[in-house]
Parts: sequence; C-alpha cells; structure tokens
Amino acid sequence: MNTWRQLLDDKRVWLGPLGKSRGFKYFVDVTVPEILEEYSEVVATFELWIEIQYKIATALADISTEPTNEKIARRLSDYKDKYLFLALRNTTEEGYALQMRGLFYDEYAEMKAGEFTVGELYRQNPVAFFGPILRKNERTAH
Amino acid sequence: MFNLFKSEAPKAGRDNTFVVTDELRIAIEDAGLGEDPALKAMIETGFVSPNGTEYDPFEFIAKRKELVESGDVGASAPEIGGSMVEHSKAPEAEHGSLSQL
Repeated sequence: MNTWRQLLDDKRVWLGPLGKSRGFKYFVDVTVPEILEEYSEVVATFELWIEIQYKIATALADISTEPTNEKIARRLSDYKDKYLFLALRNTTEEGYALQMRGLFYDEYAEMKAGEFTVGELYRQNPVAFFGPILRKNERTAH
Repeated sequence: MFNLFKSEAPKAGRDNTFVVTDELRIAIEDAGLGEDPALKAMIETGFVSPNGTEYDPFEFIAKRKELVESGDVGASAPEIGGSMVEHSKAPEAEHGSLSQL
C-alpha cells in the first residue's frame, strides 16, 4: 500500500481539503520521501522522530503561503530540546508518542528498543511522521 | 535575569526555590495561563530541565500560550495503547493547509 493511500485510509486522521490537494499528494509522494531518504536506514529514536516531524512541517511551510503551516513548523522547532518540547506540551515522551496521531504501543516499544529503522517505521505508520499537520478524526476521537 | 526569580534565601532542604515575581505573575495572567498545568509544572521545577537547562520563564509562557491557542496541545488525545497526561482544553486546532499552494 502506498503512503498516500495509507494517509487517506488511516481512521485516526481526517485529511479534509488536503486529501483532494494535488500539491499535498505530490508533497507526500515526492517531497517527504526525499526528506526521509537520509534517515531511512537510521535506527529510529524519539528524538529523531520529532526531528523528522519538524522537517516535514518545515518543508510544507516552505512550499505553502498558508501562515498556519509556518506556525506549525515553528512550534515543532522546539524538538532540538526534548525536555522543552515535552514540557511545553505538558506530556511525557511516551505520552507524546502514543497520542492519537502518533505511534501504536508496539511501535513505541520497538522504537525504544532500537528495533526500527526510520524507513521501516515510516512504511508502517506514516501518519505518525506528519504530526500536527494532519487533523485528528473527531469521529474516532473520544 | 534568571536570578531575579530565585530566592536569595533558599528554604531549608531546597535550593533555588523559585519565586514568582509580580512581573511574572502578570505575564502569566495576561497569557491566560493562570491554571495551566504545564506552567505550574515548570514553576515547580524553577524553569530548569532535568538536564539542567534553564529556560526563560517569559519565553516559555509565550511558547506555551501559542501552543494552547493552536489547539493542538489542548485537544484531548484518545489513546491508542498508552496513557497521556491530561492537557488543558483549548480552542480549534490548527492543521496543515495547502489551499493557497
């Protein structure tokens, strides 16, 4: 299954207008894989995962005139200091990882154990790399 | 600047007891974060991270305010398999958009 289809089918998120945007589809199909290329074989860690969330958000902001994207990227820029990143979100590493658009528990456990490369994790759960770019699906939120 | 917010006479058993000055209290109230759990937690730590990094309280307040206003940290996060600490409630969340791309 390709990433675009995974994003569309993932019931945790609702793409809304992004789901019909050719620009966003191109971003997912071309730009994001380019960003991930250098990390693909690297062992996934929490720090690296949030760094990639930031890089994806920044890339989206770079091609968009929507101020919202710039704001999302700026807020994620705190990834450079994990403690600050988590304190600002009033959460823990596990809490952030397991939030609705994040990782599944088994993925988090495997990431903590160093058993995932970034590429493997992305292929399994691409939504987790888009972070706040994607809207939570309120129908599955409770 | 940071020393301004620390007690010059630490209480017994505690070093660097953080003092919320009037200036800081006003900034917290102006930001609408008087009951904010993230801010309370940071005040308890004296705006120092576990690895010893000191944060500027006013910068933290500004960043936290922006995050809460974005709605992203305020939205409750139904869990997939783990636990999530409780967040404060916030308005409509901001998400990516490409309408002007």
